[in-house]
Amino acid sequence: MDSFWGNIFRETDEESVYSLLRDIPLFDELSSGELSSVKSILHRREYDPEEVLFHQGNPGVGMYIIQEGTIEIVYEPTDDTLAELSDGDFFGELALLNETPRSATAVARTESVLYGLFRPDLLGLVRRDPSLGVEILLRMSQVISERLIQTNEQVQQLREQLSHLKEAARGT
Amino acid sequence: MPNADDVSIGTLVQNFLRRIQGVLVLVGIGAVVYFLQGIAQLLLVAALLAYLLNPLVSRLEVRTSRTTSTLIVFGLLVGVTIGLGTLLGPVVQQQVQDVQASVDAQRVTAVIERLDRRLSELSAQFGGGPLNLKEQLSQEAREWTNGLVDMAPGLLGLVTNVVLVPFLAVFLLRDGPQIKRGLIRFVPNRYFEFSLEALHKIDIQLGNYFRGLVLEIAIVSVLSIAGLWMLKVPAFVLVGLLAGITTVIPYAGSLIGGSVGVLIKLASTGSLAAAAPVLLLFLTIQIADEAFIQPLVFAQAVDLHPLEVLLAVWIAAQFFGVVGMVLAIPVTSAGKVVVSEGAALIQQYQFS
Repeated sequence: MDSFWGNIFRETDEESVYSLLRDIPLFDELSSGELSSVKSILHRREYDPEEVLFHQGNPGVGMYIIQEGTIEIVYEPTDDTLAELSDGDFFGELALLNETPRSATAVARTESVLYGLFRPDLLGLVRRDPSLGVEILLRMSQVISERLIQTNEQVQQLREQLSHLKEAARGT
Repeated sequence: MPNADDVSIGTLVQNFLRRIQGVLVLVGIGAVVYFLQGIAQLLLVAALLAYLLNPLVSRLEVRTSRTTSTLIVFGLLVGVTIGLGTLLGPVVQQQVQDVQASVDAQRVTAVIERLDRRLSELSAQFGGGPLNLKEQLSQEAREWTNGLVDMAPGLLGLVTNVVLVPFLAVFLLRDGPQIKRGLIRFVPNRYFEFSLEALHKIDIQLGNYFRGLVLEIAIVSVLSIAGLWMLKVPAFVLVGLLAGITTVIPYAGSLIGGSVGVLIKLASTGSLAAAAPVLLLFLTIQIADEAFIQPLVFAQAVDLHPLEVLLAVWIAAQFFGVVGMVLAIPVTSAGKVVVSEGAALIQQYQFS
């Protein structure tokens, strides 16, 4: 039975949210029922061009999934663009695990629609449905560990490049 | 097909509404509270009830749907209330009859006259005139009785509320998370993350406070009932519960409720010496409440300044009557939690 408030605050693009979630590695192995539980804790937000999602240094509260639009991740002290993300990308997932401050600023470059998943809601879901919570957290740790492996490989490559440069400098 | 001008006007109106929707919601809430005080009171009580029961529903939600969990919790609540009513109803009725039987009007008059004489003598020593305590008390009693008669239509409303509040609370409890998400949609983007975090932290603090309050009321009620029973005060269950409920008012709560016990003991025995231990009992309970019970049940104390307490109770009494007086302190404490948590968090955020 649809609830009273559900009717008042009805969202229009239900199906597109499911397909959006299925494409995110964190949720790609969840059943329709489990996806429905995740969808029930998402917050839909709309942003105008140049609107800031969050500032570097603000407390990290959760992650965003881009349904449509372009989001730029900017390192504030130098104004360097760290990444430009678009439809289907997600960011800020580390904030789901701990309360560390945001490491960069996120700005909408075009009109954008995003879905936010936030730590208090995720913790609530974990308490209500521990098996689903474990599944999401396990998948999250897999995604983070894959990124860690990639980062380690990049660090290794950079170290090798650095040692080559040092040797070349000694030779000259 | 819409032309370009229609689209731009539509977008302009949409953007304007989006920007002012937060203000609209606040104005709407303000208007509801101002014009529909009765409904606002009902909603407040129902929201408090829903808030207190929410942890139970959330725990049950692990096994079944939220609707079923809500119905189970409410079913249990109704069952416990009816059970307690069946068990305690006859006891309370008996106790009221005992008080009526033991209170002797002549004895009360004699005590008042004795007190009047002593105080007048004392007043004369300091150069003052007679106090005429008896006359003053008669006047007060007449005013109180008239007040009680005036309250009769209010009592009829109370019966309606007893039906309406649980009905509202069931919906608030079942749809609480959706209502919260629905309201958060109105928050402008720049305050969105801040609002989420603030709501979460406030929720934790308020949850601790209200659960602590319920525990405090329960402990003080049990202590008062036991003490009054030992001192053989008529209507010990009623007076004990009253002392427990009034303990929400800081500094003198259980003393205010317990003073009814002192008066009953005084009226039933006619002896100040017999009433003194009852007063001592509530003094002890009040001190124990401040010194041991409150630090034990409130993880983080929500301290209110005595002036804040006085102002809160007075303002609530002016606008919301008796129900407002009872709810004044919890609502003020909740407001203080909201402000202090919000103020602490706002310093960590950069808004633009």
